[in-house]
Amino acid sequence: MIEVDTVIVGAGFAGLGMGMRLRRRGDESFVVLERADSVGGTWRDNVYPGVACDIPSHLYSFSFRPKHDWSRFFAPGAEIRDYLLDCATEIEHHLRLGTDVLDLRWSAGTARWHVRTTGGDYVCRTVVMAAGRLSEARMPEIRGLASFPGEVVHSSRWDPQSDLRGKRVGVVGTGASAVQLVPELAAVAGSVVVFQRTAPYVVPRPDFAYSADDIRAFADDPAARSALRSDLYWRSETGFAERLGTPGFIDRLRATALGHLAAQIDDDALRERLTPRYEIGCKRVLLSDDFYPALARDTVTLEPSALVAVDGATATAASGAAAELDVLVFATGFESTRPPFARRVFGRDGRRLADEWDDGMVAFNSTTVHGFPNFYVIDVPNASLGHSSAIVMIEAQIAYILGALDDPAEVLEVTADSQAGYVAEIDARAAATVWLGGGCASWYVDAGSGRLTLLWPDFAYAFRDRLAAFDRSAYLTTSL
Amino acid sequence: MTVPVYLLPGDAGAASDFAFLEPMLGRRRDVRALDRSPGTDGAATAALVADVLGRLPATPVDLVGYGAGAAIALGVAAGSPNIRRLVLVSGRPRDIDAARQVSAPTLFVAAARDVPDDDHALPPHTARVRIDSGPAIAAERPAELLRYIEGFLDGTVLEAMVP
Repeated sequence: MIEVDTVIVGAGFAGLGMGMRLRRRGDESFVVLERADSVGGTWRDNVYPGVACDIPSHLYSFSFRPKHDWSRFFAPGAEIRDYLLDCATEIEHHLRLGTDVLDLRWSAGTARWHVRTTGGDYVCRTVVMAAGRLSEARMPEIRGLASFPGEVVHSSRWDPQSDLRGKRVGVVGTGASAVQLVPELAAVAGSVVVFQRTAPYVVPRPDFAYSADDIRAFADDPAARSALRSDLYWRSETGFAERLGTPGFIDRLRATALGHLAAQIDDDALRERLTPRYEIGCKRVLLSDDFYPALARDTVTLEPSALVAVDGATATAASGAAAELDVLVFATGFESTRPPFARRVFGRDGRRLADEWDDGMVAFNSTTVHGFPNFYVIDVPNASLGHSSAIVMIEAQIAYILGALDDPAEVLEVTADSQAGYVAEIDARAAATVWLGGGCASWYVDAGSGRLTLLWPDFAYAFRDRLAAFDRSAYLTTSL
Repeated sequence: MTVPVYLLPGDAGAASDFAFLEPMLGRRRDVRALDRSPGTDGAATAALVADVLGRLPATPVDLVGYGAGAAIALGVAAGSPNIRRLVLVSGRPRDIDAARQVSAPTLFVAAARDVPDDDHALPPHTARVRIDSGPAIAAERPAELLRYIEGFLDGTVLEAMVP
């Protein structure tokens, strides 16, 4: 049993950032527990061909650890992973890799969390849950899948050794991973069938490589790099007007996407199948210049319905269409709104977080949960964005948590009223957004309650301003 | 309680200058954009001020003047006791006498890549912020402008936050 002040769970952007900020202010008594054998979270897991970020690299990185030599406007996944490996060197002695958390239990008597892991037990005052929102692969239940003789792989569990040359590949899904993966597969596979439940909106991806001169300028002039970050941030913020369905703004975005489709797909029937039937922004807007051209290849078939059954090598879609396949790739996303970690957290009076979140995730300021003292959660609920960088939100939550740790109280627990007020405000703001009114199903919305539980339904600056100071009046405080 | 917000555009007109601000401010308050009255092209500032004064209600309002509308808004605030808060964006208000007569708390949002900060006549109770853009702030940095205006009208403290 090891005693520390703080246990951080997860070593992706959120957990590493939390640890770095603790270490930089002189805190020594913390560990970062990571179940995998290396750090990087999403960017460690996702190594499929073509993986890249769709947020500009100078904004998709920590403001407190800038990198002047990003290779491209949108960073390839491997470069982001390398960045996080560099970040991790700041807290090397605090990392506990290969350490899976079995459960976390609050003990009211000692006012401590007891954390059982596969690498020993910890006792701590504070838990920061930074397990992420895109961590657990979501696999649809497909009848007969076990009878498939070939390889079955989820996009986030890609084997870099797999050789798909000449193979007949089925891809399930047309989300953010699929639009990056399909062009790469189409280039090497014998044939590709893409199973599409719902057509995505796709806009151009204005990517480019930074020149040696650009990179030198960013190295020599930190103010120029910082001005670029600021410019990227405020440009991205304008996009929230689109998510509110604001006339003019959403019309221009929709016209851009449909114009992109018309420019890249000549075949009327294919274009029809690729035309979305819901409002743009309701599902994540995808960025790609090579997805549509890949679908137009002779070797690629777009099946406009879901994969429903597999019988041996035969994959059958809801439309009745069938194809013989050698490999099945599931680009079907993640368990975003029902995080499995919640089943392992037991707060005051033994209440389980998964039960508290039975109607969908709730928290105060997207960070603290009533019934769970000295417990902080990053990334969820309502702390994600559809229009700008997740890192901006993570940094706001980290700063808020540091404020809480500075509070003199030994135990802090958000009141039920504070939490209910925040959730009501979230629901009211969410009602005006295209995420709830756009006529689609998405991973942003809790399927059980129909509530928007993943996304922050306002400008990112409103989240940052709200979390800028720790508001202890929202909490029950106990001093020992 | 919030009061209605009146927006005075610059020469480009409300549809252009306030395409973003009007609906976004309108999420949580009553917003009216006042275009110039027909036939006032080329009119002197005093006439434009008189025109706006005649169109405002006799109850408290917040007033936002943008670009060339900032000088008009300053004149309006000098001539009316009903302006609760005044916001001047990216204009060049130069009427020192009018500025002295304004008692309303004022926010002046300057475009960093426009004119020097001291080249303006501003009321005594003025908070100043600078946005890193050219003079067309509403087109270049609309969300940042919104953040400052909302924060000022809400009475919350403005802290410069660089992402």
